[in-house]
Amino acid sequence: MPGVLTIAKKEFMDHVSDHTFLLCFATLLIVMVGGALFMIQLVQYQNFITVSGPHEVEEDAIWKFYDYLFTEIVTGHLSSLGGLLAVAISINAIQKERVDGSLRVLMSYPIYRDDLFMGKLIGGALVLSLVAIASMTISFSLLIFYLSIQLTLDFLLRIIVTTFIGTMLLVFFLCIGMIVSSFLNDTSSILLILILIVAALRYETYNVLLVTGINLFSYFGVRLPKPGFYHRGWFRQVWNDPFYRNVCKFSPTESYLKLSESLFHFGWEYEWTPFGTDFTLFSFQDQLLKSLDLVAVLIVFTLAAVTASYIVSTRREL
Amino acid sequence: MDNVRDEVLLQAFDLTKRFGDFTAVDHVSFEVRRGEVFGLLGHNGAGKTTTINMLVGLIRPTEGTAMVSGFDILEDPLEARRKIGLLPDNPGNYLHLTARQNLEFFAELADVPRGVAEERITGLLKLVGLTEWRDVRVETYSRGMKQRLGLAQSLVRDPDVLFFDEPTLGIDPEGTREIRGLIRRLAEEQGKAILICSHLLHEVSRVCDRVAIMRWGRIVAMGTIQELRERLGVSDQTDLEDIFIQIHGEEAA
Repeated sequence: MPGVLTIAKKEFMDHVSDHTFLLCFATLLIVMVGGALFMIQLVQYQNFITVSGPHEVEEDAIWKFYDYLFTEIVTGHLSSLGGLLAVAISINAIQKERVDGSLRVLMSYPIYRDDLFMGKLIGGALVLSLVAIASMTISFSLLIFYLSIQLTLDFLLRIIVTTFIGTMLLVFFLCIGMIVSSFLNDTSSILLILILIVAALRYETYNVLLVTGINLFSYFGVRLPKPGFYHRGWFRQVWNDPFYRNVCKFSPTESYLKLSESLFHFGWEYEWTPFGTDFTLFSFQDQLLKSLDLVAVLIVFTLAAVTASYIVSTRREL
Repeated sequence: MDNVRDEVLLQAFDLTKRFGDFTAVDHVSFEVRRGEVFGLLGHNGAGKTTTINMLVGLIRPTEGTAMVSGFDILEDPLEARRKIGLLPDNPGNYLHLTARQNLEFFAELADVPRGVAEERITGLLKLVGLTEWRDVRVETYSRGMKQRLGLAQSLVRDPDVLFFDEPTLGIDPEGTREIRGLIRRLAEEQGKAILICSHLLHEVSRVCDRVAIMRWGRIVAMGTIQELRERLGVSDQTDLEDIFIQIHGEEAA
């Protein structure tokens, strides 16, 4: 156990002082903060229109009906850019040490390979927790401050669970990176494969490829029907796509995105009743219970990735 | 004192490593005594580094085993690794840390008590001549300084047996001479058993008490340089390079 803690401590310090990590982290924060500020402006504009319009909407509460405010900007970027950051960390954990020769020295010390793996995993997971907590805290603080959102226990629980599950997703990518790094020696090949994995686990990648293909065919005079509107978030057509329903929902990234969308789906707008306009609001508990299957998918994938990387790291000759 | 010097600290028994159909190391056996510097010579790909990797526990032998200070590397790998120190051709220092931080990390990893570690690190930095550079990041060091820090790293757990894989590769003549002096002192003054892998024959002939010549994974000759001369029936002036070439020629024939 002392060996695990020594390696974890050093791993954590190595990552947080690494220039590549700091650059990736800064990029993630800039994108998230910039996106949050843009969305804040959009919602403030919508709020102005709605409260001036015919419907009775509680003033300053319009943010509740823009779940993409949270999913597109906060969780969306954490799952894509955060995933790439996790991948960068995993390359530093194994491949960089192998190239520098320090892995050979490290493994000549009286420690088990299990300790080495656990130390690297714990150190990496701590750094990724720091990334998730810092980026979520900054983005949500901006949203809460500028949109005058009341910080209730219900809202706080949604943030905490989304951050925790987001960290789990990043640990999944960290483990995938450790597996790929164990099999390949060339850093560029490892990076390329990991970027492809991160991209392949997102539904948007297939949509972009599909639309590009259709456009390419139309250039040659072959007209193919275009897919429906596939914008994620408010319109949610994405979930009706058969490809999504049958295949993509088993991707940990998509599960995380759908889960976060569910957790930040506060209610239905403008429900008409004999007594006038009303709103149906969903509590955190309701939304979490409805999404337990997504939580299960993420837990299964993360555990499988941790187990696989443990087996590869401890059984394979590095 | 002679009894202590006769103590065998490293024994390899029929060490063999196969990667698929390729045999990298083929039934290699030798022993190294306390205070002895033993050289493992051979061309690139002869199996020297694979032999060291098996002895320090980085890869598992396909056949055979070895004893380090009385501990079997397969049955008591952790105890065996407590008794060894490794300096690879690439010293494997953490470049973003200082020399002191590097040694503190490795001392902690080897479970050296904090008080003992501090004293030992101070002594080792003095031994390798890096005291004035102890708080400077390793990335600014010259190749020779990195190698000297690697030497200190290999000694931080106070091992009985040291493995040096091409310890002077890429170092200038002055640095090479310093490292060679340090190796001799470690063997003579501290009684370490030292195994050196190298293809720099003149270097090995200056520092080693005995040598083994490897060819395609097998040891083809072993003994003191004088014993090898006698085996070949050549004059006392014949240097190790000529001996090496002649033995390789014999084996090829």
